[in-house]
Formats: sequence, C-alpha cells, structure tokens
Amino acid sequence: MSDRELDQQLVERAQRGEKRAFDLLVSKYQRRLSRLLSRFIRDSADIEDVTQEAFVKAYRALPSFRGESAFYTWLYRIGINTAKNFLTSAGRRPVVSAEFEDEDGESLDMASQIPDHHTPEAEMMNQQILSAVNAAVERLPEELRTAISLREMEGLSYEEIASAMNCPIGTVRSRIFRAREAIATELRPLLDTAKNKRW
Amino acid sequence: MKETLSSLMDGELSDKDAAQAMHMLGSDDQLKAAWQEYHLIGDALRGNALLQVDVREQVSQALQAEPTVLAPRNLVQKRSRPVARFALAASVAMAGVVGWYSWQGQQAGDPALVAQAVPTPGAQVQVVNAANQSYLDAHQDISLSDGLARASLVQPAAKGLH
Repeated sequence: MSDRELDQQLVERAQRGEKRAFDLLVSKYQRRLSRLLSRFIRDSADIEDVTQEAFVKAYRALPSFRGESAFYTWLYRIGINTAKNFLTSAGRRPVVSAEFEDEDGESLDMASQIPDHHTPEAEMMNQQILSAVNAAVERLPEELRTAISLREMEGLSYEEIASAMNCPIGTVRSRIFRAREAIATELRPLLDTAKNKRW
Repeated sequence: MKETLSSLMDGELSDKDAAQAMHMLGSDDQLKAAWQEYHLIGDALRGNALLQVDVREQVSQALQAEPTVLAPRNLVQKRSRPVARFALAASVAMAGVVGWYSWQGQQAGDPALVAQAVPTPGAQVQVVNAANQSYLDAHQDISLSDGLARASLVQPAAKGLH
C-alpha cells in the first residue's frame, strides 16, 4: 500500500464517520501545511489559526473528495483558499502573492527558497526540534542512520534500500523502526516541554 | 506493533495488514503518539515543515462540534459495480417502454392526428395528418421500401377515423 493509498484509506475511514482517522491525517500533514501557509501569512499565531481552519474545512468537504488527486494536494488547495480568505478579511496582502496562482500543492510545498517569516520564538522552537533530531541521527549506528536517511530524505522503498545496503528487506524494516524509536526517545523530553509551553 | 506502524507509514504493508494496523492505530494512544513522533522526525529530516506547529487538539475539539461526516457509499467506492449499472440501464429502458405504450394509447384517441412507430432499428415516428392519408394510400408500395412502411400499419385505424 503506497503512501497515497494509505491516505486514501484514512480518508475513506473518515468518510465513514471515523473522526480518529482524520486526526491521523492532521498529525501527518499539519507541519507541512503550516509551512506552506507561512509563505503567505507572517504571524505564527495566524498560521496556526489558518492551519486549523483549513483542516476543519477539509473535514467538512470530505464527502466531495473522490480521490482523483492526492489528499495532500487537495488539502493544500483548501489551505491556500483559507489563507486567501483570511488575508482578504484581514485586509492584508500575502507575503508572496504570486504563489497563490499555483494550484499544485506539491510545487507549492517545494517552494523552499522563499524566506520564512516567523517570530523569533517560533524560529527558536523550530531550531530546537531540528537540532535535537539531527543530533539524535548523528548518534545512531551507521546502518540505522543510513537506512533512515535513505527512507526519509531520499524517499527510497524498503526494496531499494535493501538493495543499496545489501541486506534483506526485513532488516531494513527493523533498522528504520529502530532509528525512529531512538530519535523519538531523545525527542520526547523536548516535545513534553513544548506541550507544557503550548507551542 | 510500533514496527508495524513504522512500516505502515512507509507504505510497506499489504492491504490486509495495513487495514489491521489502521484499526489498531485508531484505538491505541501510544501508537497515535508514535505516529505523531515518527512523522515529526520525517518532517524534520526533510526540512520542509514548521516543526513547532501542533493543531491536533484544536482541530479535534473543533471537529467535536461538527456533524459526523458520512459520505454516500458511491463516493467512497471508486468504481461502480457492473450489476448496479446494468440494473440502472434496465430501469431506464423499462420506464421508456412503459411511457411509450402509455403515450401511444393516448394518441390513438386523437381524431386529427395518427401517430405510430415501429420498434425496429432506425424506426421513425410518423405524424400523419388525416387529410394527407389518400396520398399515402396511393404511394403505399413505394413507401414500404424507404422507411415509410409504418404508414401502412395504421391504415385501418386511420381509415376508420375518416
């Protein structure tokens, strides 16, 4: 089951009334969506508000989602429209207005050359998480580090990673899991602190 | 179970195992936390996300006030079943046949017009003014070969109306 098929399965569960399935999609895409919205909205609190509103609108529109496009592409379009409405109602101009014309969520997501506009506090929090993850990855045994990097950064399948690392697929599966768990273990104290701070 | 979740995220489970994992994921808070953490790690490694954003709780609360989404089944299923399509086509055809006979019955009582059709491929409905009936009578043999054959079939009734 591919990533897109997995999303489709979660969408269909949500369409059948399982709100928990939609929660999983929120968990998966909230950071990417907010990153996209930060191209147009300057204030961190506003970005969170619009991200939240976009997800609620997406939930309401779920009955019309037929899976003709990837879920994230559909979600990003809703996000862009929500951001447009927000800026119009607030009488503000988008940070990068030209980006609104692009209807392809993926290419919007990849517009990483555009500078970010976050508050110093939000930027600091972002950096703390990023540093913690990178430090945890550096401490991983080489075979775990290679496996998780090939998966998350290069997007290789388990079969391709197995071929590249010359090991069975089951070993790849185990290495990626162990890498994630090791990183998550180091990240948890930071995330707990963040939760208490209500980032 | 977390290893299965990790494989699920990567799209490396069979449909059956994925369905089972998603079911477990929906009811296990520890697994849900792992789902969140693993995706956060992926986003951090790819560097294309605002890592500090977490709107899960707010969205969840907002959705509690929303009516539960229940999409019609045909929206969920990508392909309509052939049996269902056949049944629909048959219903439409039956409605057409019944409607046709009903309409034909009404027309039979109209003294001014005689309308008739023949259920053959390419058949045309001929609306014949009774005043022209003599013309059709005279050319009956010709009309048999050029698509006006149906005119002769209504002759007795038409004549009776004169």
